[in-house]
Amino acid sequence: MVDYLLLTAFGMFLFSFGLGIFSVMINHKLKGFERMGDLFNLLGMFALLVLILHLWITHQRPPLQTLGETRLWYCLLLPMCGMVINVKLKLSWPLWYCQSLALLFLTIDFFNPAAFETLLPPALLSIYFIPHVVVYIIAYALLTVATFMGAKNFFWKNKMFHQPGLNDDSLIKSIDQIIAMGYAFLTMGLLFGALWAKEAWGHYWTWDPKETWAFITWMIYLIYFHLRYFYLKKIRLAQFYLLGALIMLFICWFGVNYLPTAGQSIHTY
Amino acid sequence: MNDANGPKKELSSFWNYPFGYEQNLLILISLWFVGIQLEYLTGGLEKNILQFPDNLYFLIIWHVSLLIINFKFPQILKTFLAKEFIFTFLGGWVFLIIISGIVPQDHGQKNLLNQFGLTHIVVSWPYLFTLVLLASSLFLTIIKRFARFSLRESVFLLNHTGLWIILVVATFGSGDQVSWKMNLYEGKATWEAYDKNSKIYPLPFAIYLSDFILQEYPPELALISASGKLLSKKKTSGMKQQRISLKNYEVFFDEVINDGVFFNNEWKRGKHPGNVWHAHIQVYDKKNQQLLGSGDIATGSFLQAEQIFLLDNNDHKMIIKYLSPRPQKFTSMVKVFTPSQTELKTSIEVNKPFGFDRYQIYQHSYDQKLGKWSQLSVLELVYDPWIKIVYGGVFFLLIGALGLAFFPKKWGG
Repeated sequence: MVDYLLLTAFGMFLFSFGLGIFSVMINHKLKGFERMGDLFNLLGMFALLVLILHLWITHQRPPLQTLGETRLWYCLLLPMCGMVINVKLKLSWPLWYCQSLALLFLTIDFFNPAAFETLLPPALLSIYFIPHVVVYIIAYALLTVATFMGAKNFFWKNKMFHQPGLNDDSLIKSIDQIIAMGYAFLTMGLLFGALWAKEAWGHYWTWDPKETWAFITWMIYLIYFHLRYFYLKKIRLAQFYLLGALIMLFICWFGVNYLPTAGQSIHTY
Repeated sequence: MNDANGPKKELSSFWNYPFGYEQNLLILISLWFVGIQLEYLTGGLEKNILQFPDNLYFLIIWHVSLLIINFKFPQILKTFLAKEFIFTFLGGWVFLIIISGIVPQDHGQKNLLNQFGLTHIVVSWPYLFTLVLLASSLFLTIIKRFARFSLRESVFLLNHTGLWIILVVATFGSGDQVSWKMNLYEGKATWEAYDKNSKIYPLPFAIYLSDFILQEYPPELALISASGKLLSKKKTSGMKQQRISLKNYEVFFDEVINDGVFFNNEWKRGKHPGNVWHAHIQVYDKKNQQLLGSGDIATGSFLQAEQIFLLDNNDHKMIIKYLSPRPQKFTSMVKVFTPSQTELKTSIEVNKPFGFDRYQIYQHSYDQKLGKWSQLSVLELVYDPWIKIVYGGVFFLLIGALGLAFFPKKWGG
């Protein structure tokens, strides 16, 4: 039985985001396409929301438990962050990055339908599960957006998508603010995870490979704050550092499955 | 003479305060070098881990020394608070943890990696040295900032104090953690627990296992190639009339039972230990809805061999089978007795521990070979006297992180 709704939602999402990206890009050359970009973005998000609700109903549980499902939420939240930045900071290019990344992750999901077919072991059936995963996804989305804002400035300064009226100082202030928010959610995710581990396995910290990498990620962003505190003027260093930090974050999220330590992890899903 | 004086002079100027990155890096690497040698000589920290009251004495002596440094040795204090120190040691610490995230951590191995501590980084000497110095810096920073306390500083203090509490207490309190297992058998009471070295400890109470209940998910259906490769797997509902698609095939269940026994050449139901999931299936080609075959599949148990369905579709030989059912929930129904004749009836399951005496009691495992017919339930008893303090640190850190996000800070010192 082919799940037509699933396919339709996927298709609509890909199509809308593709057009959304296109519109946002065109808008830089030809004004007036901004609304169109937003419209397609909203359409794509709506399709994704339908998909998530559909999974929720058919699986009879919130779709927050497999790697594939976390990617869906990430793809929903990332463009949302992009839109908020667009409205609040009057910056439209982060939306472009957010949509591209969402598109990439959605494509990965599309070719890995098995990522949705998982039975949960008893330890994962807990009230901590949803808050733990939700705060992590929000953190990932925020940290990714901030990294893109930095990376754009680092690599393509004043060349592509240049937006007047925004200097390095005010940009890095926005980046720092978003990183701080992402970090708060990261901390919550880490600590909820510890409290949950205590409830499920008896110890709040067992150096499981996923825990180890979550802690590494947390420390990497902690170092970022110290970098900003002690080397306030080194803006390019901070922007470059964020790129490395994002790689660590991705290792923690799914790269850890491919490391030699993966076999020891209870976080195998 | 001149040759002898030259390098000496250079050396003394190299170690002049304030230390830069070179000096700090040299200190860190020297410490690691000493740590690796200690690791080789002592066989790791795990055997030498401090327990109460020694760990408390150590913490007191350590922090009193830091206070002395704080008030009497401004040069050393400055070194501890300098950004060069903080980045070197933070970086070094993260570096060690990254190694522990890449090299499988298993203290049992007997190889070179183990002898140098790489298989148990977080209980190795180099890690301990790095952590102690970093925590020292953290403590001195907190004192310094506390001295000029204001509301604006509170976010800073919450974050740093929270982290300091967690690091110091969780690390040096770990020696006092008790983690024992208890084997319970249905219809029997047990008075003792054992640790990971199988040392037995009598308990001030007994636990009687009335019943061990394991609920399973309906087994997953798998399509496997002739060479044994898993091509696709899908959840099943455990009901009949279900249709499931596996790659190019569609499987229709016309009969499903969860307590089947194969007897006298037919499948029957029965509530006996060792009975299995059984289904009669029809397999269709998805494209043209042509029936390719029908037959039985069944999971295996200690009593019955599993039954698979062989699919022979124009030279495409494949297997359709049930995978072993996976546990959804397991619960021990227990009674707890004490010498003073009190009796308590309760259930313990994964994610729902039960607190008694000084212990938190967890459902740990069961006899996996017997699965839902297991007579054995293994519980884990955990006692950690420092947990409340660690939770205090967790609370500080949570509030601090929220403060960081919602009260924008002016960056720069």
